[in-house]
Amino acid sequence: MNELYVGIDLGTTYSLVSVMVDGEPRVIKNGLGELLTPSAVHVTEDGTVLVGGAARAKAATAPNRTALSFKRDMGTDRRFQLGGRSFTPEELSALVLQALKQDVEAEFGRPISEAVVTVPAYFGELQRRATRTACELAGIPVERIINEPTAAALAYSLHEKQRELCAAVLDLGGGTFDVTVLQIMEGVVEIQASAGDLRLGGDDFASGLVQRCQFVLKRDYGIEALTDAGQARLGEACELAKRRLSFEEQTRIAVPALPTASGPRDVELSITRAEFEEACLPLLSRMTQVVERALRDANREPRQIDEVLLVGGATRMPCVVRLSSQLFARLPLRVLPPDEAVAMGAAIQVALKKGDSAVGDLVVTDIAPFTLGVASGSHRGSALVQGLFSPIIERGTVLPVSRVERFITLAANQTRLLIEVYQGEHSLCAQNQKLGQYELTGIPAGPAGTEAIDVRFTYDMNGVLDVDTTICSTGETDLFTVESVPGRLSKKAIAEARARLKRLKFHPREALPNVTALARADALYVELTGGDRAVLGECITELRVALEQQGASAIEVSRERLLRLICELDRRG
Amino acid sequence: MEVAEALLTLGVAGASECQTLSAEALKRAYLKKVRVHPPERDPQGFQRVREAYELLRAFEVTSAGVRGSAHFVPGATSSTESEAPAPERKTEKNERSATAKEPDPDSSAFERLQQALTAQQYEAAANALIEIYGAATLTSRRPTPHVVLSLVTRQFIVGAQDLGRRLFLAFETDMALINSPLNARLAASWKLLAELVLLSGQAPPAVIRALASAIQSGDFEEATETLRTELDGRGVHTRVELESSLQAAAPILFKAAWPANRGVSPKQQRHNETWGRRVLFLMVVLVSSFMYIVETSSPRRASKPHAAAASPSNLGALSAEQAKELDSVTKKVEKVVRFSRCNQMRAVWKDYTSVVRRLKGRELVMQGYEKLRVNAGTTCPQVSSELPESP
Repeated sequence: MNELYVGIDLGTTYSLVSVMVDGEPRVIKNGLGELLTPSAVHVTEDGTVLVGGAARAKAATAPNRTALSFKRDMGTDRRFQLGGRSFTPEELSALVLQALKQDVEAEFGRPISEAVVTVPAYFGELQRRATRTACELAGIPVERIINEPTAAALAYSLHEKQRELCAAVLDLGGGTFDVTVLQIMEGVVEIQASAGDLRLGGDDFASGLVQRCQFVLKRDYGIEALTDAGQARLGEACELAKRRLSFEEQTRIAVPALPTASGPRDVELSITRAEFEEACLPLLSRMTQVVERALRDANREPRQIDEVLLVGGATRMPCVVRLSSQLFARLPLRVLPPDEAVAMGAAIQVALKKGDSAVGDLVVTDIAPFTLGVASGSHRGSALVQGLFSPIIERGTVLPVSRVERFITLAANQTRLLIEVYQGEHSLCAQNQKLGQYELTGIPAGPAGTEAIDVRFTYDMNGVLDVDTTICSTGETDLFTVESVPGRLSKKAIAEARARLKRLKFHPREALPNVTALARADALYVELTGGDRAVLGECITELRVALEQQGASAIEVSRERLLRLICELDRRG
Repeated sequence: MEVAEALLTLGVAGASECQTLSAEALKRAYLKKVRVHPPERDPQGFQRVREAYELLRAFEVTSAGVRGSAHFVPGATSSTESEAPAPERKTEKNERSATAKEPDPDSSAFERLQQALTAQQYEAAANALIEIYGAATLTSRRPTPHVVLSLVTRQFIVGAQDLGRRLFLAFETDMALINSPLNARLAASWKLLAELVLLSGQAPPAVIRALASAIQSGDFEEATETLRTELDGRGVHTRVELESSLQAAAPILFKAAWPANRGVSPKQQRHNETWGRRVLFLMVVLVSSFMYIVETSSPRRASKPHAAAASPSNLGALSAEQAKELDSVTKKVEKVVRFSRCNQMRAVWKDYTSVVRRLKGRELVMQGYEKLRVNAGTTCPQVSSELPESP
């Protein structure tokens, strides 16, 4: 077997790559021996690019040179300024993908032949395209993009295909929340509904905690405002505190020399789980809404759900588990490692697509996550209303699908028709996302309403939307594929961006463990005081000296010692 | 797609099941077909299955109330019934037998029917049924239609075409008498059988048998194979004739057993994969099935098969001798074409045209001639100028 098929979970906070090995999906470790690669990019002082763990660790010490959570900005025009360089979200994602690519290719010693990448179910067409662009920039051949909850469901179904059941998958990742309702029957996995919130994830729970802390800081310390660096340090501390609160009832957040608007201050505060959960109530009620929408789309009652699956690292929070138990009146399952399920599902999907015998008899039907339609107008009395959204493929339609709608001319002697393709759920086009347009000409002239045009949408499993039109009276047909959207990079632009990424200076891959260890130590050093700080400082110096002298064994010894120390200090909180 | 076609696509056209198909049974039938046509590997096949499912599911919702009518009482519990598992149906039957109190004018025929069904003597059952229908008045009780329809299918499966036809006609006459509405699925099943009855006068018995089993089982593989053997064993003329008579008499069955792309070479099939083609094809199918619906939407229409079956096939119009003669010369030409023996082409073509000339003016013969001429001309371009457009 010379082909290498991989599944990639490009997450908001972490990214993973998975491969089918002996009929089982396996997540591949990165150069640091970790399964999760943080989705973070950092540009050092000398212009070298760091990706993954090292970059994540730098976020605390050099926030203005580090980009995090850029997945949330996929498909937008936002640009990240890192150390004098400007990056698009696609380029940053491409850097992360490139790191994953190197890891998996180093493991198997051959290039990736095809990959399946996951996106949140509620990613629109633009964000999906941006994801494709990122893969193209990273040089990963991707034909299929699948929904994260579908992938999680797949990972689950591989083991449960003998059973007949109806399940809900709740996927709370770093930045997004998705709910999928699926049914397994007669050995077919049927995705029945997907709903999601693009801006609701573990990061938002951390933000809730930050807000709470700011309130306490203002009340107890009189601190009005923090500098950017202060925000980043507090954010880091809260992220860690949030994780501790999953296991502890109460935790201490201590930030020495927190940079505030009026100079550095040592702060220390204590927060209970109840206080944290109170701060997150609005987030939990938004989650409830999403679950309800998914159930409504699937036409099911909560009691008709046989199993609830929790996926995504943020579902470790007790309040999320409690919410799901309350909504479905049953304890959720956690048969799969919550961080890895999506990547595993992506690997299963690529195997499925390639007809791998290990998953040979698994059949999946997926649905369109949003409504697709065209802009139309209508006469209301004497007024002409335009910009109305006429759906052609409704959300929840099983894919692949081909649907046709008939439209008639609005004006007398109308010989042209502008077909504007939109995606969204609003009745007005202006509120929906425009995907493309096409001008149909050659309609025979005549009174208004006499000429009919059939518009057929064909949407395949790869997310390619074909629009073809037929002028009914002449039988003339025309076909166009929606892809020329503003914002979408042309082939030339992609080539340029690739060249630009190539020119970036990277740390050699084998040096990454050292760089990462140092970055983590530096980040921790800032947080410490007293004796711990001195011990850590000594260890850091030792590693730096070993690196200077380039003694391979000495470097390894001092790095391991440093990592052990970091681990220990982290545990102490 | 119309209901009858959808039933065939999902393999639930068997008359014994059509009245009692629960939402779950329908879904299971759909999912079984999805496994055969997974969206990943057979997107077009999947879309057809999905369309059929959505159509039938819609009927499930709208016509749930329209089941049988007061005229029908459950006949004997037939063995065919026990095959279909549907718990809710039992309660429904109980209700109906409770309401049917009317005394039976000819209970002996009914008893015989019941016994025959229990003993699985379908021939005797059919005869008893014909007797019941013969003596039936407007108010007398009748077995439920799905028992009758499944018996008709059975007769065709075992090759008792004549009995099957008679039973079907008796049932039809009786339906006209009581003028009772059938539910959508039953009506669709009836329409399929009407096609089969119409076809039974024209198509070879093997084809009829295979199609009847396919209706019952939902599996068209064997029917397709039988058709292929039947069609491949013929010369172009009789082949065209059989194809068109099948198409005219049984458009839905023919489409199910002989999908348009089945005779196409793999190369051409790949070509068809391009979207433009695919969509165009879909449109043609849509338009043609729409026209068919318009043409046959009146329920009375389905009660005409005996008239059509009795009239001579307007497509063939050749005597058996003529057909045989034509077939033998045609096969010679086809052999030459198949092995590209172009040096023999002139001689066989001369024989061929002399026969065709005698039969000139028949549209189908001319269609076959044109097909063969094009084939021969492509294979042997050097003689193509000697193959005139008209014999």
